[in-house]
Amino acid sequence: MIASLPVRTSQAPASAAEAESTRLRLTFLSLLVVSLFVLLFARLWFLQVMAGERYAEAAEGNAVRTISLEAARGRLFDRDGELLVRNRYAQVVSIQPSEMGDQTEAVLADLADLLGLSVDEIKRRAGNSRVSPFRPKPIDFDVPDDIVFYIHENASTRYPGVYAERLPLREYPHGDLAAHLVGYTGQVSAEELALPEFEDYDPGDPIGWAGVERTYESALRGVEGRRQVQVNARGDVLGDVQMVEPEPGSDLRLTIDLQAQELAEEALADGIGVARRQHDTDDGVGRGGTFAAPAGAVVVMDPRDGAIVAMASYPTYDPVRFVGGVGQDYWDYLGDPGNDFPLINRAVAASYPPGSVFKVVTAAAALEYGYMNSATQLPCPGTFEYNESVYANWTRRDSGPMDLATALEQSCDTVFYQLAQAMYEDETAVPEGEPFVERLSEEARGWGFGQRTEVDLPGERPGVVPGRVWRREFWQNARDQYCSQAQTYRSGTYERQLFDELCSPQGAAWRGGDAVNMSIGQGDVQTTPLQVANAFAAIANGGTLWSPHVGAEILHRDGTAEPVEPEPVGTLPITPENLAYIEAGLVRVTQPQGTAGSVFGDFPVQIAGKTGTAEIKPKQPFAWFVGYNTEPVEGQEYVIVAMVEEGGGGSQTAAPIVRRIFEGLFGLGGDAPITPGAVTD
Amino acid sequence: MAQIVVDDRSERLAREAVQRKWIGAYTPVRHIDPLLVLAALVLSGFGLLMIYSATFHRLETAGQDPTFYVDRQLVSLGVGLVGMLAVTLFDYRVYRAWAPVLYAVTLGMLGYLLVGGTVINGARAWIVVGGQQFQPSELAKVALILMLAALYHERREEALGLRALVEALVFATLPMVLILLQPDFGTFIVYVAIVFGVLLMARVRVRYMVALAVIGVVTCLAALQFEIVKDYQVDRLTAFFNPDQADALGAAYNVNQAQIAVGSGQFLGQGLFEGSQTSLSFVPENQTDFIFTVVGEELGFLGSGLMLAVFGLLIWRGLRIAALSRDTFGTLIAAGVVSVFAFQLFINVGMAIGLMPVTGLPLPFVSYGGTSLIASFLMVGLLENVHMRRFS
Repeated sequence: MIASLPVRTSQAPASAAEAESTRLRLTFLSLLVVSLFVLLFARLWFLQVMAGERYAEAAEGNAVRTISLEAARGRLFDRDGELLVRNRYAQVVSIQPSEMGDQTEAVLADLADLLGLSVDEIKRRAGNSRVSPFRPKPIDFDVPDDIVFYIHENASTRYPGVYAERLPLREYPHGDLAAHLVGYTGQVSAEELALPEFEDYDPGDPIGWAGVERTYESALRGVEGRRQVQVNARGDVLGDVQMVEPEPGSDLRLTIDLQAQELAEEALADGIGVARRQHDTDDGVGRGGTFAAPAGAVVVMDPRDGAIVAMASYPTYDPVRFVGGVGQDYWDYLGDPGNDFPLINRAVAASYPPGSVFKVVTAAAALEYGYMNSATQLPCPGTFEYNESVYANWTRRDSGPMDLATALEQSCDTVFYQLAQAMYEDETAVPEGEPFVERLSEEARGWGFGQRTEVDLPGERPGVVPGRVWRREFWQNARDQYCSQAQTYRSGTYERQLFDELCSPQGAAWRGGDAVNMSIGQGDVQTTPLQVANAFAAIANGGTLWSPHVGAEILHRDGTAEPVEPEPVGTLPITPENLAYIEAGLVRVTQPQGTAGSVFGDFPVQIAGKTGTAEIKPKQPFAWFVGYNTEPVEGQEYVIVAMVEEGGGGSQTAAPIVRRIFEGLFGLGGDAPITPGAVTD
Repeated sequence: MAQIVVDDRSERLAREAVQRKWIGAYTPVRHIDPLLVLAALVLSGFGLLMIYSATFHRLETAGQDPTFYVDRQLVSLGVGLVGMLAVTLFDYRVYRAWAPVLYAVTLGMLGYLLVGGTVINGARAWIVVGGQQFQPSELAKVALILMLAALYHERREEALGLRALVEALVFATLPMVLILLQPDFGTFIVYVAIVFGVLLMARVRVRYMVALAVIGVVTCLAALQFEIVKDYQVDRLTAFFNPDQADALGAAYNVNQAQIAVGSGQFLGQGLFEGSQTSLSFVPENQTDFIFTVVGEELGFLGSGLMLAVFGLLIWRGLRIAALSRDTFGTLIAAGVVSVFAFQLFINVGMAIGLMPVTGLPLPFVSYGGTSLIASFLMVGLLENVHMRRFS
């Protein structure tokens, strides 16, 4: 119909109404169009001008990925500059399964093929890795370059969640030597990240977890580099936007001597081996058989400045196993009580009753507070009765009256019991409210016990110097436990009586028996092997207590060195005369008639020392020996402590270890197997 | 007498000269609207630049000719210009007769799509002939405008009546149904805009138009309710209304990335060829439906505003032509064309900046796409035709 319309039709004159209507509708259409434009402009103004910066940031976040470049940690050297820990760069392939989505199986199968591993092995390694959840889990190290390139090229399509990175890894040319000193690294934990001191750490950053790796973390760490790359929507890397090279951390030279360290570790392990073959002749509870000797520690220190020359803790662990993230199986091994917690550095992070080694403190208190002098003597009976309790001397026979130096030489317990009783009773005699000094405790604190030495190693324990105030606080904390424990025993039994008493306010009292026990380094007193070494170092150097240190100097990458200054922290609270008197007693300890005479009687270098055999019922005794050479040998001075848990007598087990180390340090042979000493105190 | 003869003759010659001058004053060629053509050319040139910016990086990376898309668009532009010229050669009133033919042909092509069409981006909207893709729904726009304009020109005496409306709706519904079957929701909306523009200017009673609008809304809701609409379209609508809840990498991805790109342009833009979102392909389809993100990112508010201003000029000239047209047919053609340009602009830019849900629609003149560009120039030709023959 319409197609047949004539082409030329005359324009029909529109009526005025029609024209008006058309004009109105055209206006309406125009207004509609204008309003659409207004909407567009308004929205654009909001997007681009008002919110533009926010979108610009989002755009940058879209297109720029920041890859952090791990800085190589500083290296560790021994005192002579021998390399102890270094870095190497390794191509590491890691996976982050959460980024693989539903392709996980396919990606893993592909990757397994590429790396020549089975899928199960990859899963095992990833599942075993105790890496921070923020970081991909390493599954293969030292991957060849061509495989790395292949992974990079196909990253977005075939290998989502697969990372091939060049990472600096710790390398230990001497294996597990000095493991406890060196420590190990891990990845910063979520708990650590919440702390202010770790605010410049990113999730997953490596961090020193133990040893000097931890204490010197800020120096060793270096500054992470940053590579910003442009990526497209698929995540393909198109090029570098910015590259900030990582700054490697500063090196650290340690005070330890690798030969001495090796010597100390071997001597400790050998000594422990010997102890395990010795028969425990005691027939008390938990005694008998051979010695368990599960663990021990050795400290070798230069008494002139507190520099730690060697420090060993047994059992030890292998820091190599921590490289690239420790595996769950090894971590479980380290945490299993049956393996005696190899991670603990027993020289500083564990405290023990020092046994007779502590008698130097009791002797010093007796001399300083005037209970004895070089001319006075006290009897040394086989037993000592006090408050209806009987305290035996270790020999159980009467040795007759003796001076204090001989009491040290013979380690006569009953002499020290008498001194403790006298001091205790004088203190108790002070009227209520009057000030008085707890002589033994005060002296012990003056020798550096009961507080941290502030050595530059983590996890240091302060130990315990007991006393009246300590006892009350301890009781307040332990009271509920005593009371509930009392209920577990039938009334009338010894245990019930004991715990009932501890539960009552009497339990808060520091009693004469406590003081007596403390005088021979038993009961509540606890020290770390390092504290013992430090106290004897002070005797050796004439009375100066140093804060021990294992760091010698920080070697910055710009060539400057920042020495770790040895820090004197105090002077022994004893007169030089009295100190000399004590030292004379200690020298006699290693003479043929002394308690360590069986071990050091024929030793060509004069050693001042003290044995210790700490009873911690119902365990076997803990063996201690601490000694130093009184005169420099070719300019060398050492104080050496050995402690073996449940290792038997101090002269029996610990002294031979110390002797072996002195032999090695002074070049006095020492190839023969360690032989146990006589059983003394 | 000879003098008189001479006088007669010279007088006649003079009179004829004046007449010729008068007649000449009304010759179409002297009434071309240069601003209209200029606006279309500026937008097309601008489009070529934007297409280049959107694609050269990707093409270079793939080792292809960076001007691949630009070259193809240039060819289409040439065809479009020739088409525009051809359209203006004949008096537009001739097209009243040809409108039904054109309408029938395009309807046939739309019908053919259902069986022989090629699917691109989920819509069976393309015919591929000798390697050339061709989108009939673009040409069908022109045909529908002409058809409806011709119908209402014919029915102009009874335009207020219901019969003309019913006829118009029948003519409009046929291609619209076919387009929905492709399905191409975006183009469908443009057809709604054409019908609205033509009916409005055809002086259809307001009450009818309101009633139509109500029926339209109800139908849309019913379509959503009874799941006639494709899932992905529902997803896009959901993403539009709840961009934060929708899957960031799924349906809302385009919307979010487009807004990031446009917003990051800020006032002055990141600079031509400097847009990171553009060159790194964060916005998909950014040479076609999302080309505005390139404009927004690289040229900022200033460049976007200028582009909109040129569109404003084009649409203003269109509205002016609708007003100046000597007959209803011309007015309705102009109204239809203006509706296409205005609504397509609004929908396209609107979806890039989060004002409208995502529907595949090109930005007229600017987006890469041959059929769209050619159809746009044909429509400019129609406008120009109406304008230049408003006195003849």
